[in-house]
Amino acid sequence: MGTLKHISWRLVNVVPVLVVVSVLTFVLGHLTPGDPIEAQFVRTHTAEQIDAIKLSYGLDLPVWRQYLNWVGDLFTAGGGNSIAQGREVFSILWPAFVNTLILTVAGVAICVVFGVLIGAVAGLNHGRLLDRLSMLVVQVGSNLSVYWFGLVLIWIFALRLQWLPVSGMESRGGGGFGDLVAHLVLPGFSAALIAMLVLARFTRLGIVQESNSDYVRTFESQGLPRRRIVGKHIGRNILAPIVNITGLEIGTLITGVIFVESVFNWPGIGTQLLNAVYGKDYVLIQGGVVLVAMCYLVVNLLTDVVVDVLNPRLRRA
Amino acid sequence: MALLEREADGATPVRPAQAPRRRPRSRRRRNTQVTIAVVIIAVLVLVALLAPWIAPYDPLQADGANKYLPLGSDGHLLGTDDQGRDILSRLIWGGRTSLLVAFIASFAATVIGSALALVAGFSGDKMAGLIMRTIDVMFAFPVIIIAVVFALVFDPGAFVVILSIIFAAVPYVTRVVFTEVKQQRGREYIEAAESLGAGLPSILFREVLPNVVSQIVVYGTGLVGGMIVFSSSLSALGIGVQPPTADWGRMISEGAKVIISGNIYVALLPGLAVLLVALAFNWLGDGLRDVFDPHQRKARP
Amino acid sequence: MTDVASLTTAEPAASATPPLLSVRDLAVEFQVDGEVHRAVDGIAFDIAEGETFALVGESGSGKTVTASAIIGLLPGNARVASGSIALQGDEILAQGRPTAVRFRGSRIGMIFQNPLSSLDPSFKIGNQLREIIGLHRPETTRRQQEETARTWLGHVGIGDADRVLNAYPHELSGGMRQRVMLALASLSQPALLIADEPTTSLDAVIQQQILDLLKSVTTETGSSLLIITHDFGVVSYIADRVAVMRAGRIVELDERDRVLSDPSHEYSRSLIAAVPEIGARLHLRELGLVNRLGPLDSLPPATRRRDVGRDTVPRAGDLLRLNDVSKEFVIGGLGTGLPRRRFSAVDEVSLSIRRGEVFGLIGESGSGKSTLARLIGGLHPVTSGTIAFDGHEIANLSKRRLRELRPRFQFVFQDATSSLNPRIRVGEQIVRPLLRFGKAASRKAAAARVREVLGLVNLPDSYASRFPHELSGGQRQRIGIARALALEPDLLILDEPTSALDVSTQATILNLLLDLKDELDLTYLFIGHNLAIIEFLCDRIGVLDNGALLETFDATELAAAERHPVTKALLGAVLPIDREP
Repeated sequence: MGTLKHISWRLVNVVPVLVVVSVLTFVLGHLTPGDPIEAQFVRTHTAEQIDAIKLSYGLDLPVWRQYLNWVGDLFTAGGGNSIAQGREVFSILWPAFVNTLILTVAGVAICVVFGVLIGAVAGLNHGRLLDRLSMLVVQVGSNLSVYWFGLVLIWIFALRLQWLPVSGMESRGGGGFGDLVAHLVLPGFSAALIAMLVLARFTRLGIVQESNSDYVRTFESQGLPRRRIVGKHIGRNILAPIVNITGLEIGTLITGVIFVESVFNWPGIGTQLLNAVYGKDYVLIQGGVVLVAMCYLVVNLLTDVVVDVLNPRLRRA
Repeated sequence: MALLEREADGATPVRPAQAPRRRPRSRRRRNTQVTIAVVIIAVLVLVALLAPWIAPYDPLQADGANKYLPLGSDGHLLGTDDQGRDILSRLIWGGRTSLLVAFIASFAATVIGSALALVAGFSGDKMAGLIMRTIDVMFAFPVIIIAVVFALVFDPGAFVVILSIIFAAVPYVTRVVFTEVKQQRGREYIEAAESLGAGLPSILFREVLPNVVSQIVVYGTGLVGGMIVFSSSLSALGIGVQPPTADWGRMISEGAKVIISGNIYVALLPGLAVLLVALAFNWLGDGLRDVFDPHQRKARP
Repeated sequence: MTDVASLTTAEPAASATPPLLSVRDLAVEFQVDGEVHRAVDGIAFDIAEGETFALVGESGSGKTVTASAIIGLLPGNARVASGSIALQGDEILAQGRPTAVRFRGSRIGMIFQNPLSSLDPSFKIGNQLREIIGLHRPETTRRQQEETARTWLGHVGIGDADRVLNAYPHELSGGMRQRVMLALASLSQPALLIADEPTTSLDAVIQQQILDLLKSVTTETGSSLLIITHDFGVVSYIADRVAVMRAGRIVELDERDRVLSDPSHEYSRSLIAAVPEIGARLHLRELGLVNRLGPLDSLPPATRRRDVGRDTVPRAGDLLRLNDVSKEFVIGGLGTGLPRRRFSAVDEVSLSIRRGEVFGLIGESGSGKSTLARLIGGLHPVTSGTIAFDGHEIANLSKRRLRELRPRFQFVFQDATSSLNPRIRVGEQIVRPLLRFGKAASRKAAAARVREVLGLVNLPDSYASRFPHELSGGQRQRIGIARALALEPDLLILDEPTSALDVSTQATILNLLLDLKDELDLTYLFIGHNLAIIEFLCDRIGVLDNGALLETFDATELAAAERHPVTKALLGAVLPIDREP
């Protein structure tokens, strides 16, 4: 089966997942206890006005109609109106989403660079002191609470050493790209931590396993220099698993990002969602969940496609 | 020499000089590690159980006159927080909540995940495909989003944390156990049992389970550690255990508010407690893995 | 008899010219769990220029470790404890690591047992060949390298070099990949080529081709060949001289013909006698000896008529009858992420097995023989066709009715390591089915039966309380047989029960099976890929190829002219041991 066919097959597979996600999101939103709209407007509006608002949210319709309306809103009406803020959900979420995206991309970059680096150093020194030390760091690091790790970083690098800004996304009055990068270092690192260590572990394992494989022995028996075996053959063979793990860890990373947003006051989607929880703004949360789910699906699809392209068994029709 | 004799008697004709994948750690060091882990866990569990009797203060009792006392203060060994509450007492009581939440959730996740894995491993391709695809989706989906939705539906609290942990951990457990089960299923002893008249329940519980139970226990043990960490982050975020209940995660987030004033201890100490417990459970899991591995036991001559 | 002690210290030079490779007093130690094991214990041998030298031995004898030491690829937990290895007068062991590496490829080449994993799966064959050519001749251009690669593929008998150069390893068969490996190892024209079990994982028909190529390529490059093998057929076919290894020592070293025709050491004698051979059964019968494997002077004369085999008159009636049995597997489909596809593993097979006979089913890997065995054993449902066991239709029987019949046909699996539950004591594994089928009224009765069947397979009672990993491979297979026998079956389905075992262990298991058959009046369905074993053991033979049964015939008519070409190819692929001096 050719790569193209494989990719289209994957695309087709995404559709049912999307449907399931949207249904689940919708149902969960409707399980919200109490009456969010009453709670929001009871102090400021009369009973008639509240009923009118409920009508405008289509709450008198049968559930399946509500679902269809909501799906329609996702495409045409910016995900419906937020209960608390009254504006279109996507127009509220979009700027926050972009901020989150910036942080996530920084996190992924840190995760991949340092994860592969730590894993490679450990794997290439398998069994030696450097390997043991790296693995100790990985083990301790994997058991750090992201939230707490962020705090400790702030305390050390922002408060004691004063190398980096404490929180937020930009200095007062803005400061251009350099300023953004400075603000990204600590949160990016905190958000990447867990995924990075997972990646390091897999990279190390991959290198150790490939080093013991028969084909490496073949090239060793021909006297191919070690660095060439590592650089070309082992490198090429662990590439696909590394991409795959990175893709899988995006979920962990996004979770990390949302913890981190709270620690560093990053104006991202996590902050919006947490506020919405307290405001019982289920429309906003539904929109946010759909947005994140879409990203997640896109990332997964891309990962799958890259892994497929890297797999020689699929490269030929 | 005994080893050579045994092999000469005719095991499998594989490369006899195959290097072990992992340089085996010395047994003694492993045992020390397990002992340390067991001691840490036992002490913490004991302290948590006996919290009402050993905690020097009421963890909720604020004392406006004694805010931000540093470490080693008179009467407050680990100092006090922003409301003048005794940190040591809060740590002791907080351990209660944190450990209980992580235990319950990890146990539930282990049971659910193992059951799913066994069903997937011994049903048809379609059922297995359905379960494992769902798991794939759950596996990579950001758990925090699920937690937020739970918090919306059930109101923030310990219950949300437990549900979220289960949701986060079930995919991992299922995948790990499924891999084990599938490996077992591919082995001929299953076919042998079938040809010797064993039915599905007998195969599942009397043949396969003894072969995977140790991995389940090992994984479940390690899980507790990871989940204490995760639950502390959730509580810190504010969708977990609610104030004024003492909880390690909650304490971290309360400490976060005062960190800007230069006081790190309020947040540092509960974080260290989380780290210590998590590491202990990890070590215990690793140690158990070695204990359970039958091939490490010496062959009789 | 040559003095073994003198062998380990120095070997008289085979000829006046200095040897190409000279190994002296070599000892290799492994560190496992803090304990030191000697895998090679003071061995010495020479390989002359252009010679083919075979190291032969069973698993754990140290033959592969010796080869790894020569090419300097010992695993991390092994070290050379003492001795010297000299290639063309240059000491390999004394040299620093960088110099030793320089020997690899350029002066010593090696090909390995498993061609399926010995090439990098991510690069095309052409790329990998060019890389090695460029390594040995850095001055060559890409074009020249391509040309050299093409030439060498020609040398190893690959006609469509262009296709192979552009193929990934997984697109080639095992035999093709081993050819590529041979080209890869030989293209630098090394002085010494080491081949570690080069044909063990290949089908019999391919084996001979690869051995022929090894011969022709080394003749062309002028290399000496060190071949590591457990198979005396290979030794007989290709070697000039042979060293027999056991437990890290060389017990016998001599010209091939001497060792094969008149082995001086007890161990080599029993090892060679343990190899089943085409025609051995007839030979034994002519000598009036019982039909068992072993040195001729150790075999008792045949006392009963049926000991001789072949003359056994199977009692009337078919115990098993297959009619147009087919099996299709469906792979992929909903939820697996793969497209749905079906393939036919067994294709309209009809055969019958008479009560009291040994029926042999032979086929190469992928021929569907194991699937067919599982259909007969009621482990897979058939897609179409009928299977009648002693008059009962079992192909589409309900689970409950099938279960009632199960004790009467039992299965012995290929890999006893995997067919015994690793977490349950072996006694319990025999007890459970006894209780399940009501063959024993109580645990006590079951335990008595366990002792009985352990006795049948010549194991002491105490073994019942052991776990499988506490037994050797041969002992595990005995447990597998005992477990099947405990239920007093009529038919025993033996799915390559000895293919994972060493030659000598295989011989004891085969002899045991022959003994048991006589003692207990059993019928065997024996599945295998080794025609010599099948011929030695079976009364009738069926040949399976691509899921179809090509023909069935009486074992005595194996060599008849009207045999199917596939059968003839299988027969031609058997490498006989040439015992004539």
